[in-house]
Amino acid sequence: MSSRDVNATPFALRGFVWLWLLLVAIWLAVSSTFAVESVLAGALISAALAAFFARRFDIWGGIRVSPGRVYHFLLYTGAFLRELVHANIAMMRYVYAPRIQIEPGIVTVKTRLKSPIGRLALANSISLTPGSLVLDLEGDEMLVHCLDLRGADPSEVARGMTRGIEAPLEKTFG
Amino acid sequence: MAETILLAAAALIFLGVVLGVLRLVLGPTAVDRVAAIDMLTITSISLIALYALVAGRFIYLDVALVYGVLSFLAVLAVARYLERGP
Amino acid sequence: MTELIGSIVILIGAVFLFSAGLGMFRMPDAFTRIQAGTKATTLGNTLVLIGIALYFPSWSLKLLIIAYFVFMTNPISSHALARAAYGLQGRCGGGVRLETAGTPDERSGP
Repeated sequence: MSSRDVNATPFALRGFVWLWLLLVAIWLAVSSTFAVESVLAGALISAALAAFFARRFDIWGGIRVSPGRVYHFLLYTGAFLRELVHANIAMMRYVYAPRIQIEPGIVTVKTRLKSPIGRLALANSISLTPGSLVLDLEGDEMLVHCLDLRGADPSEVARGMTRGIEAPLEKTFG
Repeated sequence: MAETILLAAAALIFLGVVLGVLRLVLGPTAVDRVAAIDMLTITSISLIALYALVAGRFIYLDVALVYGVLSFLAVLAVARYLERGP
Repeated sequence: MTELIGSIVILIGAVFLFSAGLGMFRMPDAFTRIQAGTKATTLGNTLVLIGIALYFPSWSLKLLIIAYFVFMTNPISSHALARAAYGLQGRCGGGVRLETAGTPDERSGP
């Protein structure tokens, strides 16, 4: 999906509004008060920051919000948390083994995701899933360091890494 | 009962910090040391939050948050420096 | 009762944080150390914060912000570190592939 629609609001403005709302929400949560001065100051500072970042980086313009996207984002969160717990249990098994037997290696993973923020989310999730760590991100290819490649086919490992996470992210961010 | 469990948790976290500091001192390369600092940072956030719980002070959570932000920036800066080369 | 549950959750989180330290100490090379340090601390920190939220439900908003912050930044800093390690290794003639577990400590730091 292209990040520019024909009849959409100007590119930077859409990013500005969402970034501003996000920053104000974070401000309210951190300051945990609803006093007028505090909220006003937060709104002003957030507006300045959001204007600066929305103009400098067009990554924020790719964000759209709709009920379907929120639903798929929740699906992604569920899949992500499951993978995180799984990753930790796998890591504990290596850490507490009497002898650490691993064969690290590097595999290349290709992604279908188009938008930069979707790729960022995918790279972050891969870094937190079992035995993998993103080394470099170039175009649609990622270099991923794997903890243990014993008796595994590298391309199979690469496909398994994005399974379950890529589909909801694609529906959320495109 | 709950206090005993909290004490055990704090002792466990402390042992983890000791191991991290050992890696910080031993670590053969600079990357190992910075990785140890990164791990110690997150552990310290948990420790500060735990102390906020024991002391019953909400304001200490701000300390944990600011500590996390600053050390994240520090780790990023050192990593960029190492990447560009000495 | 919620205090007991909260302290048990904190204890589980502490076990994960301890195993992060142990992994940091035992793993053979920089990449695997970064992996052990990143994953276990993320979950351990989240569990500790959840336990504190069970003690004081009114704190949960700020605890959520801290947990979310760790979730966002921890993979990024580990990625930056891994990239630095990868670049250093390539420059020092370690080659692109690291197939064996034995490569770790020969390469010299800066």
